[in-house]
Amino acid sequence: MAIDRTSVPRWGPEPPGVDAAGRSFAIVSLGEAALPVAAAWAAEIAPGLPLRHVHAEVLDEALLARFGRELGRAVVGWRLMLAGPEDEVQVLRARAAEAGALPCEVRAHATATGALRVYCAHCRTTGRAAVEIGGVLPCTGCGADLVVHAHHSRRLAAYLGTRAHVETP
Amino acid sequence: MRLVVLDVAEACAGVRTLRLGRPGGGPLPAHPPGGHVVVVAGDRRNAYSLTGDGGPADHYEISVLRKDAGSAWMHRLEPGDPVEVSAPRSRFAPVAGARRHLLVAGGIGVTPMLSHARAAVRWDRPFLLLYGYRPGHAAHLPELRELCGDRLLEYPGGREDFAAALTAALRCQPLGTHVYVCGPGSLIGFVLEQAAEAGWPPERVHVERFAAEEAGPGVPFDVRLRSGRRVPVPSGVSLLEALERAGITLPSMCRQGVCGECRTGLLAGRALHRDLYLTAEERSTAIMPCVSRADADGLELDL
Amino acid sequence: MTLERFPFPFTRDSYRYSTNIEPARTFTRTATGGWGADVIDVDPHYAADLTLREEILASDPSRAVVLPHMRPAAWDALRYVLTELAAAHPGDFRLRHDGPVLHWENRRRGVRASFRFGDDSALPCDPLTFAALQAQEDLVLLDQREDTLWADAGVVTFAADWSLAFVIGMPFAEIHGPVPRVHEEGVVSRAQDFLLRLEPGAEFRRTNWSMTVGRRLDVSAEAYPSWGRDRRRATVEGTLAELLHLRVEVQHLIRLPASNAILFLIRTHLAPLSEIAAVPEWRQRFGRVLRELPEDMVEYKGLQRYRAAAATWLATA
Repeated sequence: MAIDRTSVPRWGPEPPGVDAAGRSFAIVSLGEAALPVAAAWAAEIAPGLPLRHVHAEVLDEALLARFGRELGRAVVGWRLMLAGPEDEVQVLRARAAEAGALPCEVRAHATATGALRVYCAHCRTTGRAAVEIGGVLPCTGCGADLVVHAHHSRRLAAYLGTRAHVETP
Repeated sequence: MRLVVLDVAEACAGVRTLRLGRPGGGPLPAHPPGGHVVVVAGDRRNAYSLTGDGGPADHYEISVLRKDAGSAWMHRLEPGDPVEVSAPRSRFAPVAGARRHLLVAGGIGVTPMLSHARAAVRWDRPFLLLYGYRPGHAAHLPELRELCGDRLLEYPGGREDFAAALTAALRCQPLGTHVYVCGPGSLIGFVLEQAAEAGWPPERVHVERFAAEEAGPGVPFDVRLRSGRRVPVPSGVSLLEALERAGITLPSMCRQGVCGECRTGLLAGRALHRDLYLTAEERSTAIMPCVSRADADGLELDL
Repeated sequence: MTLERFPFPFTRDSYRYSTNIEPARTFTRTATGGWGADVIDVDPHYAADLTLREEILASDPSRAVVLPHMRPAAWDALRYVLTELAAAHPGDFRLRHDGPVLHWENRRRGVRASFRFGDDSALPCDPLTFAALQAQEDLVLLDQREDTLWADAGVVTFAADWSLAFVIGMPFAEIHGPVPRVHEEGVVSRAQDFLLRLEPGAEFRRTNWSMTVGRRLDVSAEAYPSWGRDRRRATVEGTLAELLHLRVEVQHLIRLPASNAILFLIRTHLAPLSEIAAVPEWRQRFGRVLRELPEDMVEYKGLQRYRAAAATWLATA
């Protein structure tokens, strides 16, 4: 197992603060547990500055469409705040980066870390499961058991998974 | 590189455009957009932006504003004159993945922008060039108008006009835009201030200042070895090389100050550390001779 | 002697990760001959390696990725590779400039192409893949921004236990996340600082090593189910010296002058222990390196199953 975990995302117990240098904001909250986090962030933002809050219970196509519209109307000076389950927040973060957001323009808080997205190196499918780093899960694409590595890609919003039980039967 | 002046033209009041090439013809090194060369101008070394798009070419074009001794020397050059030019350097390259490049130029600061715009057109990258100038003092206006079309916005109407346009522009750029500024210190200061006011992260703001070139050839100095022997280190020769010339071989590999091989004990003297290897603490008792130097007082080495 | 140009990587009787960067184009003398005068090396495995690369790319296109903003860098890399091949091996490769049109001839592969630089429609595939089909090297392009290097393009068919498709878009430090020790010891951050400062046209190189069971080039994460199994075979008595290969990567780092991207070329060389052992200095040195290698590095390099047996065999061969 990898000793250094520099690509593994680290989440603090407390949500990050809002970047006071921002001049317009979007807050996206996913799930009920994210609502108080979103409210605290909104309270931090100076009145008069543009602020849009998008909330959904789960990350679905409708939410992604709304999120895409927010990304489309954002101008430089904008900051994005994300709160929700780790795997869902990572997906939104990846979308924001694809739309041109820099890491420093996005801050995120994980309200739950029980599920991980895992990219299967062999069939290239990304699946989601309640698993930990080092754990094993069946690939939703090829069905093989995958071991989850301490190696994470922000672009794919997923951990690396490779076939388990190859060297030891 | 020993180049020769191919052509000289008056770009506008006070600005001369020089075309440089190899004495026998032939390709010149390619460079990133916004790259510059350092030219030996009499007893000065001046940096000038290359205006080409950076692809392989058989000439370089630079534009020189006459304002000091170095540029006055440059203005006296005629076709056929030799000129000593460094290999291209890059401190102002575009961010390849930027959603849009917002180019801001004041006066002679337009030269790197011409390079940026040419490359952007070549590779189909979205850009906007805001060019503030004094009428009669705008270099490269015809080329820019033809190259950029409606992507060029001109501000000959004075500082206030330009400032208002910049302030507005910095508040409506799509997410992913990067801004590049070159021009007088006052323009740069203004853009930095307004960008911060508008919430631009510093990572999106790129400035070409032509600051003093990084570490030059250094002053000559002597090092004393344990035996008492003195080894002179001339200007432009690394300490490592000077030691090697004196018959003292040290383990070495990268010759760039990263690998740690040539680490040598420092017994006395004020070293000018230029390496990426030693920690701040280690620098009091060690030195990397492949890149680091000393002032005129020299050093005492544990060799 | 087949190992005349083998880039034996060890200069000491022990091995640790370091920022072992040195200038490119340095001819390095070894016990059998030498290597390194050129950036791109063409050897007798050329035809087989490139045929294999083509097969891998056909069955798994995910091994070649060029993010859209890396198009200029991909063209810059193509120009570099073709220019280098034609200059270093003029009997086999020719590159002619006809104004903006380039005429390329690869006599070894029977490839001819004429194209305008930057014209994507003029090549049968993207320019980086085209380049990767002319040379045995794997290619990765690093984009420089935010004081960091990002692996934003590549054509890699011979990865040593990693996946290009996974690391595309990752920053330098994170790509090297799983490597033991290099972060605490500053090796990775020094390497990145060094690369960030490379001027247009700069050329450097370093070596890396591991071991492979069988003369197998594709030991990527993608293909792990296939080659991982082989690790069990290596400990069977009598087969060790033929099966176990010393795998050396000669890596070149080039600051591409027009695009400012960094081209990372990885050239893989394999030699079985039996051949390494035929060179007395190499047998001794490699044996000592293996014997001395710390456990965490053994594990990271995947050598646990056969380190001891290989070290012993080398010592007593």
